[in-house]
Amino acid sequence: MHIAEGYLPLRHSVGWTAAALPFVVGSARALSRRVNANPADRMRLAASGAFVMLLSSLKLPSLAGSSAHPTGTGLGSVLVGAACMPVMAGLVLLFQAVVLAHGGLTTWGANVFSMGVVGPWVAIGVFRLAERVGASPSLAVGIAAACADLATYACTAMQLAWAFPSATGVTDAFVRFALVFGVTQLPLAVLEGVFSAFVWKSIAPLSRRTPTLA
Amino acid sequence: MRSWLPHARAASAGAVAGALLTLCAHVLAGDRRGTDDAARETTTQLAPTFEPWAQPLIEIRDAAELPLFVVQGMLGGALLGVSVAALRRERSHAS
Repeated sequence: MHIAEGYLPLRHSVGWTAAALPFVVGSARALSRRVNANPADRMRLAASGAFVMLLSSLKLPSLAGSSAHPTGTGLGSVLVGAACMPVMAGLVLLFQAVVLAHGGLTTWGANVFSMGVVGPWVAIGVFRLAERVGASPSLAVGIAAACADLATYACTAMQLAWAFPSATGVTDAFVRFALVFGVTQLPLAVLEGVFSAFVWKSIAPLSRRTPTLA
Repeated sequence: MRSWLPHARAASAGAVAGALLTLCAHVLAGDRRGTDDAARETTTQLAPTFEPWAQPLIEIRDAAELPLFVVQGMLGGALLGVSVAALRRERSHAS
């Protein structure tokens, strides 16, 4: 899902970095407040960050002879709150840009915005909605994680379409990028949902407090 | 028992699991083209004159990609192992 190094025009790179930075700074403050207020939360935060690190390292095969990476941000959002996720996604994306040449420093802001901001907040919204309609917590986590994954890719498609509109406009370009990602990502999102629900079932009973959705 | 030993055990188990998971996923994916490449191709179709204005800090050869992703999987797995083990201990002490 990562937009490659140099693949966004300069003003888009600057714009997305400016858009993502306040979320990353706010997220770092939220993490700090959280740990100071309740040191026992450190392990849940670490588990959420680790899950993002682990899942984004997986290159999974999908339909149409393609492959892609899951994001792992949906589970973390439900476990520790969406406000804590931008800094975790930012660190993983920085690691991948510097060590793996995957994604990039010039596109870091755009990638953080899609993976660390849009995905997690969609996860929280979907989780609340799923619980409200009576879904079990693990099913709600699974659906939330799948939707977070899809939302991340939809946001990336929008970012690319905005930067590279077709002759008929941004909408047409968005459809083209969304189709590129969608064919691959739909089954992978389902897989990420199942995996997230499984891990949530293992971690949730270990936490004395209920998930925080702040 | 030394206090760091449970952490080391959990980290090792997590790292091995993370490495195996990453390795299996990459083997299953094989030579399938990544969506990132497909998106780059679409970009080229939509803006044929666009040239990337920055290059990655380091050049990764195809052969080095898998080991590096495995390292990332190991790091994630190790941290996940330690945190889940710590949550388990915390829970058992509380009860």
